[in-house]
Amino acid sequence: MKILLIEDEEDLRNTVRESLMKERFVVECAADYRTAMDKINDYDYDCVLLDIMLPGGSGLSVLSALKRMRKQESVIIISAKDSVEDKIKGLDMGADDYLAKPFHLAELNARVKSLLRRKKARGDTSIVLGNLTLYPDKRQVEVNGQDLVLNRKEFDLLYYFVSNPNRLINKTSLAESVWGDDIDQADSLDFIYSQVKNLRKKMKTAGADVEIKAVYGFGYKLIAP
Amino acid sequence: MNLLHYTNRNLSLVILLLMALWGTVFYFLIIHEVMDETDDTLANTREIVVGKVLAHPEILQSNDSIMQRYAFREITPEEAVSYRETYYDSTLYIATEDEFEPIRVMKTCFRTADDRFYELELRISTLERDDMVRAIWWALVVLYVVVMLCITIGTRLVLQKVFRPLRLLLDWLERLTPGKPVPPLNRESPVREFRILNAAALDMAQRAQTAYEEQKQFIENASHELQTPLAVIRGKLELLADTEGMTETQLQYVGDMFETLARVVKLNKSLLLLSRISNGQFTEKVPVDLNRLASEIVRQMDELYEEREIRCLLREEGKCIVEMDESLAHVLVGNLVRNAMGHSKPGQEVTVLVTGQRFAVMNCGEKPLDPNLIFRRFYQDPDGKKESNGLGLAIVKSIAECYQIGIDYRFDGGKHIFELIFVK
Repeated sequence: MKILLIEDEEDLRNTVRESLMKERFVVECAADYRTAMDKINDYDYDCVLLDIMLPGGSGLSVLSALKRMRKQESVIIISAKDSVEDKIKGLDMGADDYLAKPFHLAELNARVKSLLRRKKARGDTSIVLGNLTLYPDKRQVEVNGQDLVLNRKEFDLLYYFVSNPNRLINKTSLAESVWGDDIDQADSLDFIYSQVKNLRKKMKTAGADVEIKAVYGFGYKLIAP
Repeated sequence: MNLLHYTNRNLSLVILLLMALWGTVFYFLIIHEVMDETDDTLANTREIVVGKVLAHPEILQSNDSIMQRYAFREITPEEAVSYRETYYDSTLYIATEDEFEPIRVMKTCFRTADDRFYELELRISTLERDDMVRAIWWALVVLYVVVMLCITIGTRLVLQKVFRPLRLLLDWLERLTPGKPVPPLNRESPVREFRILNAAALDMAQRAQTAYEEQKQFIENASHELQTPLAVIRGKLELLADTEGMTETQLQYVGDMFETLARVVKLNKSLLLLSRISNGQFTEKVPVDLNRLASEIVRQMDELYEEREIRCLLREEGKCIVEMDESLAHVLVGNLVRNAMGHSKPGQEVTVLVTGQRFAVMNCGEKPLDPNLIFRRFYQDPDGKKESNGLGLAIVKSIAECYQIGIDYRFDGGKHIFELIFVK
């Protein structure tokens, strides 16, 4: 899986690159508009991560060039501008997703994987981890072929976990992915704690061989076989 | 009242009074002149009559019984010594027409050659004089009305022309909107003052526009400059946490940093939102269904706080549709409900009430808050929670001001009540 990361800030570029490489993606980078245009002209990628404000031009122009060339790349806009108009504009121009900075790497990871799954699978977007199968579109989970009944938030949490297997996930990252970032942190963290507790109980009862491990004071990790 | 009407009214009022004064003085002067003329005629007639009488004394016996224009009466010498000439108005009965006619009478006395004294009463009809006075009066009235009309209409036309550049300038000012390009303004005018005014207005608008653009740019840049380093820190922390061999204590430190960072991120976003609202960058208006929005947020809050046993109830007593930016509506309602939920204790209840023109959030409390402080930026309730950044209600207030929504806080029956009042 090849990903093109277009981001002008070197530190952020390296951080994201390292995170994606851990997931065994092939990552190429572009730091400015010209390099970005050269790369999309010369190569094909599975996914493009696109910053809007670039030296030498707008990321939106890169996006429209991609669409003009009728390329199949999935595009996620990563922008510092967290405004609804920009989001709508980007999505209207054909971007597949929009992520406002400062995002969590785990969140980016989940979104990239979700897009790639959608693109690759053509209909079957399910995720299989050991004996657990999660169907994002149907919002269903099966353990050993048996339905695992979860409430909405439990499902969201599990979905986030299975998108980031064997990765230590901070609880603020979980809270934000499930609730958005405009709620009171302390209360949402309490909520996460109790919901994960329930989720773990349900998974254990169902006999899932993936396990959510709590890391005290930090967050959780989904241990996949 | 506009400037044109106001000036026109005042001008007309002054002219009306002055003209009335002038008309009155003119009228009385004319009347006085006419009276004088009549009396002069009488005096002349006296000279003629007395001259005739002295030459032909027999006339004394022939009082003018036909025309009744004069009459003689002999008087005693004593009477004659203290005699004074008099003029007065009177009437005379005319038998042929069976009516009284106005006359002017002069009484005088004279001495004949034989040392006898006579009183002469001269009469002159003033019918024509009265006609003339009436004619003058009417002429004056007509003149007054016509002149007044001419002046009023004339000044109006002139003022309209004079004020045209001002009206154009005002129209232009009304079209000015912060954030939109400055519309063109024709600075030319024959009047120096208007030229200066136009130039000053245009200059000011352009400067305001530049400042606005700069500020907008500044906010965007500030956002970009802060968000990216924050993203770097966040990313590095995630990578750090995931490195091999982290001890539990180290992870706990990283976890604390994550939480603090999340607060910084939220603070940055709140500040950004606040400045964007106060800069009027949310100009889009769509009808927002507050009932639907409230039920969505209430459901979410209810779910989030279920664990802490704080219930959130929605009471709908009417349909409330508000014209505003959708994302701001979300923030507005969300912040109010969240604020109430966050300050509630386990077992308590938060009620959200939607009526036709009102939206209220009620939660339990012990003592009233200071309504002057709670909407201030960074105000922290002394016994409140530490995690809140003190911007939630400031943002609510900003949004309310932006859309002229009334906002009210009161403490009633052990409940804090925050209310939004939508005036149609």
